[in-house]
Amino acid sequence: MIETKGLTKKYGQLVALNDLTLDIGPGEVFGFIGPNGAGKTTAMKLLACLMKPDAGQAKVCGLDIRKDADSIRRMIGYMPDFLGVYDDLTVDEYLQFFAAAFDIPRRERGKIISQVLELTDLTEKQHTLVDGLSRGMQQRLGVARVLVHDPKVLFLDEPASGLDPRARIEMRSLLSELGRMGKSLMVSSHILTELAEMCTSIGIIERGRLLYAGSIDDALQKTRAARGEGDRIRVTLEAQSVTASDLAAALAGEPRFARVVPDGQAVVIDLRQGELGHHFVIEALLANGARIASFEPQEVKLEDAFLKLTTGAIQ
Amino acid sequence: MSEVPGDITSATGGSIGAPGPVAVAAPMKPTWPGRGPWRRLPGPLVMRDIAKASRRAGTYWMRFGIVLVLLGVLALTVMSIHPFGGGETSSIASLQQMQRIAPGIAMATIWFEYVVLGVLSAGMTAMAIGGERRAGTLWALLSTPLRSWEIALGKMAVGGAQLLVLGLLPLPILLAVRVFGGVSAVTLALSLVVVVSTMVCGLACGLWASIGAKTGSRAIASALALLALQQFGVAISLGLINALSLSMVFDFDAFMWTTPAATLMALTVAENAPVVTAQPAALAAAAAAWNLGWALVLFVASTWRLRRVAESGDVAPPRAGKRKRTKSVAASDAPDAESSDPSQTEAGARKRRRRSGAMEGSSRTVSDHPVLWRECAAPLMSSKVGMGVALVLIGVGLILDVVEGGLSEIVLHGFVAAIGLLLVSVGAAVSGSGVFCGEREARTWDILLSTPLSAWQLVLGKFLGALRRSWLVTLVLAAHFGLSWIFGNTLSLTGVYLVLVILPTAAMCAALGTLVSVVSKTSQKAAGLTVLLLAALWIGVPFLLALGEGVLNHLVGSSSNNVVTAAVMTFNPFALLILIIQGYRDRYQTGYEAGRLVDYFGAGQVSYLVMGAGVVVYAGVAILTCWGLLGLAAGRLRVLGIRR
Repeated sequence: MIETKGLTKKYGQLVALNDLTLDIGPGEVFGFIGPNGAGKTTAMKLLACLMKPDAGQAKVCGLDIRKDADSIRRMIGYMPDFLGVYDDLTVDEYLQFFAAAFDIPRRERGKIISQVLELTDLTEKQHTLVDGLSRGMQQRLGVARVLVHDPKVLFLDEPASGLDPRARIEMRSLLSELGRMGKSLMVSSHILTELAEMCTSIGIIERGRLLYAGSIDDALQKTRAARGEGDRIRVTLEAQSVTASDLAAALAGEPRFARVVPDGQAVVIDLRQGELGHHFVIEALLANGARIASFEPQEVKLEDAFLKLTTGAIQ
Repeated sequence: MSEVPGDITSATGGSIGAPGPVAVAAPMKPTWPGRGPWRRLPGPLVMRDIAKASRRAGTYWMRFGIVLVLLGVLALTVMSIHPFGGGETSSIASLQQMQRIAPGIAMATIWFEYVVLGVLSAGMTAMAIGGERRAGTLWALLSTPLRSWEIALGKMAVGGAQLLVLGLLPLPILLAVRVFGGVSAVTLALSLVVVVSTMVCGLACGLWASIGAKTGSRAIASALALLALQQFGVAISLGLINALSLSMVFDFDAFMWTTPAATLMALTVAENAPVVTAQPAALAAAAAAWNLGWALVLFVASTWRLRRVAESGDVAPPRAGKRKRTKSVAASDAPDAESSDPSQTEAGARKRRRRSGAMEGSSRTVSDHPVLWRECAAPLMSSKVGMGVALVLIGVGLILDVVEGGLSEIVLHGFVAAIGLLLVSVGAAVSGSGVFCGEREARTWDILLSTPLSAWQLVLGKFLGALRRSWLVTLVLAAHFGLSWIFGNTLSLTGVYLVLVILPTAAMCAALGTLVSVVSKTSQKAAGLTVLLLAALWIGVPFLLALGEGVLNHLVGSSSNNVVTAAVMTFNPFALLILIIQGYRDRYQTGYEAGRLVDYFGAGQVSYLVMGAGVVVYAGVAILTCWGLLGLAAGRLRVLGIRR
C-alpha cells in the first residue's frame, strides 16, 4: 500500500528525511518510531501529499505522490500531530464538513457519521460543540474525521500524545480495531510500549535516516543477537531455599547458561544464544535444591531494540 | 526530643496530640525577594521582545523599506518644487532655493511619520497579548510576579522602542531643513509632539485590541479602527451633525482640538495661514493631551482587562483546542466525566454557544461546498448584544437621517459614501487577510489541505466568506441611499455608480487579503501587509502622482498632464466616489439631468451619464484584478498543497 524509494526532503540545509525506503503492505499497522525531529512528520506529510519531496519516489495505493495527489487524498486519511478544530461547529457539523469535502453524497453522510461516531465512542457527543470536548475526545474525533471517507491508508501522527492513561488505552484499542478492519496504518510515536502492543511492523528513524524497518519480532531477535546472548531469566528463591550465591556457583558450570549472577534473594541467568525454551532451567534449579518463589523470563523489549538501533549497535 | 527551631512538638513542650498552645510556623521567605516594580524597569518583557526583534531579519528590512520610501517621497517632493534649469547658482541663490523647498520637505517628512508611525504603532501592539495567548505563554507570564500594568507597560514600551528607531530615521532630514531651510524649530517640535503622542495612542489602541481579539487580523482591524475613531471620530461626528442640521452648529475650531490630523495640517500645511484663531502651541498641546489622555484611558482599561483575564483563567489559545490545558483536561478525560477545565463548565458552554451562535443539541446540515458553508455559518458578529446595539444605532441614525432631512443632503451623501467605502473595503481586506492564516494558527491547515478540495474551491469559499463580513456597513450604505432614492434626491444613476464602485472595490480588497493570507505566516503580518498595500495604492499612488506631475511640469515646462491624472484617478475608488457625488450635486443644484457636464479629474467636461464609462471601466478592472488576485492565490495554494 505504501512504497517509498529514496524519499528525501530538505529544509534549506537541513536534511529532514534522507533516502527513506519503505514497503508497507495491506492491513499492516506500521509504527514509525523516532525521537522528536527525527523526520516522522515530514515523511507522513510527504506521503499524505501535503508537500513535495526533493528526491526519491513514493507510491500510496499504487499511485505516485507527485502525479496523483488528488486521487491519493481520496484514499488516505491524515491526522496531524496536533488536532486543530473549528471551534464554532458541533461534532456532527465538523464531520459533515469533511464528508462534504470528500464529496460524500448528502444522503449518505448521516449514516456514515453515525457509524464512525459509534466506532470512536462519540455518539453521545454528536451535537456538542467541538471545542467543548476534552483532549481525548478531540483526538478520537480526529480519528473519526479520517474515517469518514473510508480511506484505505491512515497516517496518524502521534495520535496518543497528550492523552491520559485511560484515553491512551482507548486510542490504542481503537487503532488496533482499525488494523483488524483491514486498513493500513502508519502510526508515529515516541512512546514505544504503545506501539509494541498494536503494531505488526515498525520503522525506526533518527535524524532523517531510517535505521530499521521490519517486524517487531525481527527487531527483538536482532537485539538479542547484538547482545550476543539468549534470554535472561530472573529466579527469586524462597527463604528456606539454598542461598543465591551457592546456587549461582552450582549453576556456573551448566553448558547452556552463559552467565549466572546472584542478586540478593534471586539469581539472574543469561542463556546462551540460540537456547530456546526454559524447561531445562527449571530442571537445573530443582536439581540444585532451589525452592522457586518466582520465575520471570526477562524479555527483550522494544526500548532495548530502539536503544541498540539508534546507538548503532545494530545495523 | 531535640530542640530544633520550628519543631512543633518541641515548641508545644509536649507530645503530638497533647493540649497546649498551637505553634505558628514561621512564614517562609522567597529565595529572591521582590525588588518592586520600578526597580525592574525596563523590565524582562522589554528586554526579551527587543532581543527577539533584533534577531529578526524582518525588523531591519522594515527599517530599510521605510527609509527607502521616505527617500522616494522626499526626492519627488524636491523635484516637484525645486526650480530646475537656469537661474542663478550663487550660494545665496542656492540657500534661497533651499529655503523655498524646505517647508515642503518638512511637511512631507512629518506627514509620512504621522501616517506610517500611526499605522505601525497600532499594528505593533495588536498581538502583544494575543500573541502570548496564542503561543500559550500567557500563563507563564501571568504566573510571574509581574503585575498587569507592568505587562501592559512592557508591551507598549517594546513597541515604542521599535517605533522610536523608525521615528529617529528621518531626524537628519528634519535637522537639515531646520538648519539650511530655516523652517521654524517650534513648528517642527510641535509637529513631532503631535506625531509622537499619536504613536503612543496607537500603541495603547493596539494593546487594548490585543487582549480581546481572537485572531491577529481582527486585532489589527480593531486597533486601527479604534485609532481612526480616536483621531477622526469627533471630526466626523461634528461634520455629520453639521450636515444633518444644514448649518454650522459647531465652528471649525471645535474639532481642531480633538483632531490631531487637523492640528498637524494647521502646523505644517498652513503654517503661516490664519486657519485657526488658536496659537500653534496651544493646538499642539491640545492634540497631545487628547492623544495621551486616550492612551492613558486605554492603558488603564487594558490593565484592568488583563487582570480580569488572569482572574478568569481564560488564557488558553483561543482556537487551538486545549493543548496548553491538557493537565486539567486530561485528569477528567473519560467520556462521561465532568471536566475540570473552566471552559467545560456550564457557563463556559453557554459562552461558547453564544459566541458561535450555534444551538448545542442540534446541528445544521453542511452544504456540498463545505468551505463556503463554514464561512457563511460563522456568526456575523461575535455577540448578539453587540449586533443588537449596532442595529439599534443604525436604526436611530436612519431615523435621524429621515427626520433631519439627511436624505437630501449632498454633503452627508459624500460622507456616508466615502466612510462606507473605506470601512467596507478595509474590512473585507482585513477579513480576507485572516482566512488562511487563521487556519494555520488554529492548526487546521494541514487537515484542510489533506482533503481533495481544489485550490479554487478553497480560495473562493474563503474569499466569499471574507466579503460577507462587510455586511453591516453595506447594509447601512444600502439603507441610506435606498431611502434617499425613495424619499430624498438620489438619482438611480448615482445608485448604480455607487454599487459599481463599492462592490468591486470590496471584492478586490477581499481578494488582495486572501492572496496575502496565502503567502503570510501569521494573520497579524497578513493584516498589516494588506493595509499597507491598500494605503500605498490609494494614498501613495495619488500622492506620488501629484508629486510626479509637479516634477514633469518642471522638467518639460508644461502643465498639461491632466489626462494621465484622470486615467490614474479613474482607478482610485475614493476619487471616483467624490466625482460621482460631485456630479450629482451639480445636477441637483442646477436642475440639469444626467446630461449635466462634469469636470472629469481636470481632463475635460463630460456628461454625468458618459462619466459612467469611467465607472464601468473601473468596475471591470477591479473585478478582473480581483479574479487575477484570486487566481494567484489559487496558484500558490496549488504549489503549497499539491492540488488541482
